[in-house]
Amino acid sequence: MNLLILLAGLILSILAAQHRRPALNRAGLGGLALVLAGAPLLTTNLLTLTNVYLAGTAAIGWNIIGGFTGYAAFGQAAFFGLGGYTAAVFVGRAPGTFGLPAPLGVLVGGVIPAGAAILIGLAVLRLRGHYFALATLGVGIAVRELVNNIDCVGTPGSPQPLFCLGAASGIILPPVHKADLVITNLVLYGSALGLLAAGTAGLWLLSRSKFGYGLRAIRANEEAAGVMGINTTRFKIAAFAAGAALAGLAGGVQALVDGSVLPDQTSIFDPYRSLEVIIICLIGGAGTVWGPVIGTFLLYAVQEALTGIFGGGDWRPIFFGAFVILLVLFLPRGILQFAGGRTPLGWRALWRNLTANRV
Amino acid sequence: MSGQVLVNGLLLGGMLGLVGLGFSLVWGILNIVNLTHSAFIMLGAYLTFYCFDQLQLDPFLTLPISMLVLFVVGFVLQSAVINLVMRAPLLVTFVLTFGFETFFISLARLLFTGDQRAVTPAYNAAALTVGDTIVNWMKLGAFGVALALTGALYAFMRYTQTGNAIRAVGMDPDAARLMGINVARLYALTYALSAAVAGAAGTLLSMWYSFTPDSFGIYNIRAFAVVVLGGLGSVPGALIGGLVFGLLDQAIASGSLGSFQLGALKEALIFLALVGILIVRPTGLLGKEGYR
Repeated sequence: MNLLILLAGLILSILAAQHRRPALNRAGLGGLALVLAGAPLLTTNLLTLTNVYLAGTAAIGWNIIGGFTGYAAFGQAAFFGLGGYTAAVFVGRAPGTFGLPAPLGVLVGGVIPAGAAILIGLAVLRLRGHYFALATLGVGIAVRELVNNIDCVGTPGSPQPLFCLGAASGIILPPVHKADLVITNLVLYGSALGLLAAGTAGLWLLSRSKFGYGLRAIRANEEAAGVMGINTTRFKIAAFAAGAALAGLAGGVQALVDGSVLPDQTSIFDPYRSLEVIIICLIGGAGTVWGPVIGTFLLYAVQEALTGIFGGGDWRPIFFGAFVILLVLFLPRGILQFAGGRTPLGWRALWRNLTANRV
Repeated sequence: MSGQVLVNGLLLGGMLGLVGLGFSLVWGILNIVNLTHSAFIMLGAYLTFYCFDQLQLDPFLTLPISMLVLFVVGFVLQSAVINLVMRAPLLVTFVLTFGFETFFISLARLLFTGDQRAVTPAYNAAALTVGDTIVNWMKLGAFGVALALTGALYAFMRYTQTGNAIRAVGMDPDAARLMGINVARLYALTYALSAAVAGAAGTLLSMWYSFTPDSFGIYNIRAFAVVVLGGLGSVPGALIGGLVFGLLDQAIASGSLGSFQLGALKEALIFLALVGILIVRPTGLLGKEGYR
């Protein structure tokens, strides 16, 4: 059933991306709202969809710095994890955590990564190309290792710690609703969907704003953008921070979904996430409003289908690898290249994509 | 720093240098951050394991076999597929090589199973003892191979016509083409050489640690670190970067700050240092632009 919902989401979001055809656009948007809001009635496994939307939100964040601005950041997982840990510290009940309401924790989980991104961005955004990519990767690993190895932080001389991250044992979060699992799942689903919708709306506003045009000018030619009066440093840092904030918000909700944050690599700091957000944007269409959403639905629909065919077995990642290879070769600009109606989808167009960049 | 830490650091550093060598070559010449690199190392390790397990072949004698096989794999991969995206943006090649990495690693999980494997020749534990410092013969041999391969690649790039052509392609592919160089074929050759060196690293590492198909992903990140430390586009730089990384790694692992063991923060400290180096000297500690 989740596969059907994901496929419906994919088709409807492609329709919603047709901004040149108002009728299709409106039908797509309406259908999407209907299907996604109605999904809790249709599926028994709501948490899977919740995780999908959170991955999509992190990808929207990456799209601001990686897609619009053209800076290939490989550290999105760090901001996601930082958001998760922040939310855990604010919401957790153990000694050294604050026991505040969950929504507040998630919000702060967006603020702290944004602040971290401003500090990190001041240093690494002076680099370009491979060097920027490398530096963000290094910062990502360093942030993860730091957070995972800190137990408690306190002021010297005071026995009471300021806050605790739990080092190897992580932090346990209380359930959103104490007694009712159904309400808990619904609230989390709604929060994730809300983040995805708000993120997409934000991208739409961004794409029409002066800030968005500035970012795209930086992508096209940074020197020229500077000469035209764009404060490139400030724009890049703002984009980096906005992307980190979205990833952090998603990470905060993810921490509530998981019920805990742990230092191991399959938990909130899963390094694969840094790559996943890029794959999502690339297959949907980097630097577009609907690209991350379309890419999310496509990627997870394929994974869900592969799980359906092969179970959880060893064949699944093999086909996933092959899928990624074929997509990059034949659709390097994402499927939105064909959805806009300008380029007809056909063998000739695919062949042109395949051979356009050969030596 | 005690003698033992120094020796451990240098021996580990030689291996890390070999891991970084092929990575640096592809990055410097092809301008690709090759995430498939760790899969090549894995293939080298499994080739060695099966030669040892089935044919009782000494791991050091497997070196030419794994280098040859990986050379062919690399050549085919570059000529058939990666050459198609050589002019595409950074992200495309990054995700493509990630796709191949996933493909190879998960195929290995299926074919070789996820069981722990180890290559244990009879001399595995034999060691030379100088004072209170222990030097494992096998690791010393591996260090020697790493030095020899680095030297051989350096000589090849410097003193042969093909090596010079590869460097020319790295500097300016369009100009190289006008000089009559077959750029596509040299890209394939460069990628194949890098894969062969990765295969050699895999063979040596198979004796060092026990492994599963998933043990090797970490070497992509280590290769990154080696390249940054040593400087992109330099053959001796990769070795020096490896040695610096190895010494740093062992020194931090054995160090402590009061009662706090620094080993826990090893990765964080190394990568923070890396980012610092990148910002101050984007071309690495020794690097200059272009491949030397």
